[in-house]
Amino acid sequence: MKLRVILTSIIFACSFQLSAHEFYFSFAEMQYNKKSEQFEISLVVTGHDMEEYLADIGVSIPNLEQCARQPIYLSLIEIEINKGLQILIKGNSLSLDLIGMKINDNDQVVFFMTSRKMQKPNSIAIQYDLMMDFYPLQQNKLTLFKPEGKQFVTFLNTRTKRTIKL
Amino acid sequence: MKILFTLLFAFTCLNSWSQGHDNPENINKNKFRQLKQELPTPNVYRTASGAPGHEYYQQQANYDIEIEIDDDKQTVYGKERITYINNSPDKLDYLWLQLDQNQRAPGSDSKLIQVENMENFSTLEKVHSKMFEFDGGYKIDFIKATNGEDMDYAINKTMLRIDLKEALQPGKSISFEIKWWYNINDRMKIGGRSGYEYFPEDDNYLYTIAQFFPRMCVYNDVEGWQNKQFLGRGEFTLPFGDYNVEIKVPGDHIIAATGVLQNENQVLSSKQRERLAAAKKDFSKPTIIVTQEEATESEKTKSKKSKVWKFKAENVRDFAFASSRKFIWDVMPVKIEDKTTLAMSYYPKEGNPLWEKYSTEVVAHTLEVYSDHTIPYPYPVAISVHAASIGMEYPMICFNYGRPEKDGTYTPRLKYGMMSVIIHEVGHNFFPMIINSDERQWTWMDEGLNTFLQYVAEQKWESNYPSRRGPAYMISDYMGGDKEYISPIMTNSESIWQFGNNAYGKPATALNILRETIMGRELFDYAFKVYAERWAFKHPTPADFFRTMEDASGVDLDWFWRGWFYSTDHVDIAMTDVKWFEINTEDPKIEKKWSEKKEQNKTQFIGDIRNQADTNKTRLERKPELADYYNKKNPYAIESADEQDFEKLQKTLSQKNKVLLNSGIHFYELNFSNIGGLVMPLIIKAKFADGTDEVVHIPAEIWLRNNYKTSKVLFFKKEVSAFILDPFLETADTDISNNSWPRKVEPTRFKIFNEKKMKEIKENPMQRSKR
Repeated sequence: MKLRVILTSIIFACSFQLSAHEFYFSFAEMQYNKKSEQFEISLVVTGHDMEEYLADIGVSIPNLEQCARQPIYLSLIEIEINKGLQILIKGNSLSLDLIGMKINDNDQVVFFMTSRKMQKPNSIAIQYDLMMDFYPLQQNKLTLFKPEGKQFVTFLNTRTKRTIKL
Repeated sequence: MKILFTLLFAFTCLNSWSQGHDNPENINKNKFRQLKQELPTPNVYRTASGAPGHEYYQQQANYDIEIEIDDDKQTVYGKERITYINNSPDKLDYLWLQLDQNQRAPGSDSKLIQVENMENFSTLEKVHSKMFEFDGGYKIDFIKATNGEDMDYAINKTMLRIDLKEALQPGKSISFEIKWWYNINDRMKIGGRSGYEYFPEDDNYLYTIAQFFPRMCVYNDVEGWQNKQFLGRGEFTLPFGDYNVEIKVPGDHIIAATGVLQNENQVLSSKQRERLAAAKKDFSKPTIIVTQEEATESEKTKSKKSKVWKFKAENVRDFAFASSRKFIWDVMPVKIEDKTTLAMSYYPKEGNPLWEKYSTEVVAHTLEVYSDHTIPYPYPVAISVHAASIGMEYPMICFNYGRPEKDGTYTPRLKYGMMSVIIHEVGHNFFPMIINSDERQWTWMDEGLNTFLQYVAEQKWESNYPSRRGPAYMISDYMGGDKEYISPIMTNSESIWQFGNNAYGKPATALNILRETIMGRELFDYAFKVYAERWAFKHPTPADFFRTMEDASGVDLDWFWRGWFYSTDHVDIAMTDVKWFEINTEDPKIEKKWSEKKEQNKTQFIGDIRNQADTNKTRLERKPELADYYNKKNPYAIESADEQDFEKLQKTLSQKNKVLLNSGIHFYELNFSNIGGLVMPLIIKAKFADGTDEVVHIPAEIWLRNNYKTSKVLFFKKEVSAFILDPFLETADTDISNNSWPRKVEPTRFKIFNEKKMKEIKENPMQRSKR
């Protein structure tokens, strides 16, 4: 079977193929909050990695600071984060709301997200391949806060999905 | 039969002996074992102390180059005369040169070895970039000997071999000429450290030209000829030499280059020369040599004439330059010991207002801080050139990003990003331009050491400067990641997973930990400076660095290099439990009271609580006559026998022991488990019940015998309410949830966010202030 490749011409900012300062990591923390009955997630990325990635996939936003107070840009970012970090419960993806963003002066950006209210499931599948299609070396690491302690789960290009007991 | 038995016996003995030796379980795996197998044997070229040996040698390559930039076709033409001096004890049958631009030749290995999937071809631009459309490889017109005869040569991808008719003997030199040209790459579309940026608004180009001419490879005692192909990531190493370079460009271009301008009168206006002369005397602030107005005017007029700029550079390992009519140029002299260097910046108007305010000041600051920690900056100029989206270094000159918004505002992220990249790239003058390690083999030797000093310079620029790398806690997430995709620092540049974290972040952090926690600033700074002094204008290897740091400090760091540089172990040390002991004074007045209090405070078993509440009396309560001595005895009452025993004991004790028994010292047995595998010092903060605290430092050698479990007894005159391991986050511990007693719940980032009620989605603060 031949697959048809659809190519689009997208004007995007310059690519940074040989930028000498690669980071290629994102670190998420996740916890089920019994009181609010929601998953609470924070996700750290390097600001310029994220900006270049969004530009590369054709999501046209100004720099992250300029996305402030502009719901249209924030919702674009929210969509991409939801694609890159998916919580799957019985095969269904749980939608995450972007409720905050902290931009540090050292180019570290933290996104804060919550899920809808729900009963704590026994287990979840996590697909965490954020930015991996653009940066083949991207590694994502999730720290899950459980009552008995922390659990670290690493996601790689070759292993983007993991099932976790809560 | 007897012979068979003897043979069988001998075989069995031999077999068991060889099993004992082959079994990997029986090999010394102690994390403190010396680096005997890993480091090369010292010799006459490199000593066991890490210094150059008495027969150390290095080659020299001098260049006379003529360049022309064709601003219409974006092509560079060059002719160079190389004089190569063989200082080695070996005769050389051939010479190797690097042809880095062949990385952009059709069919280059750099593209062929890229791992791809169809997501990499999802847009037309990506397909264009993936196809071999642009030919940026060298076109060699000729290679001639000084007598005009063609020389035999062979090109092997990014390397060129010249076959000599007669071997070059030790102590002799050879000169030859190469003529070449290549198409300059559009850096903004194709990428690259070198290339051009086109500005459509005013139809002008900004060229940052580097790795542009055929350059002699290093030949040394370690590798022979450096013969690793240029694949794009691992940068380069080159022999030192002197350069005379003439560059022909459009008449209104301003050139920034490695070295000192030799013909000011021919290329600068009288006004510019006056400003430059004045600038050389004003150490207080940068002086503008070419103003924004003048540069903007040049953008419009576009001279059709041409000029030749002449530069001279001595004892450098490479030459690079930048050229554009868009350049604004400022200069500030910096005094370092008895030498004056010109700190300079070249930038288009698109870089302002950020560049005119900070670039040259940051260059000067970097030279001062790095000179303090290494050697005094030896070159006459240090230049920062504005180049969108990259940071790249060459001797005396570097290309740096940092472009504000079109309205002139910028985010703090951009400002600090720009300053950090300038510090970093100017810092590369020291590592590897002067302390000339082989970047193509070992990225960390320049990037790691440089990132370490970058952090030091950042913190000396401004208190709480938002550094991105350096502090231990910033690397812990990376080090605790999946080991399958993490490389040891001692990995060749092209094979590294996570280049940035591996070659920049982790070694920088490791050096910071050595400086702050393991060696202390005084010992570390001395040893680091010795390394820089020993290897300035020479070619060091990792072993030279490891050995010098130990040799100059008197600290055995083999365990540290082994753990941090040769393994992917991480730091996760857990305080598994704490036991509390007090001295038994044997004084019944004290001990009985203590026991009574302890009994009163003990946790009661649920059955006891319910039995006490039971209204039905026990048999003994109903029949008190059944009680005997033991039932009636108050175990906490002091009997005369107790007092007699104590008096008897007192008579046997020395005064010193009596004082100790009455000291009220609290003993705590702390148990530790090394989960991550990396042995590190134990830094323990004891918080006392009275609100005070004390920090105890235990060297990493506590893990000498058992690398995975250890314990320590600490004693204090005060009662401890809590212990915290690594209280200042100085060991890169990846899991601090197991670092406290009693256990402390670690808040998530989200919880902190919620508690602070942050509304951090913010616009560019400069823009906000204008709203």
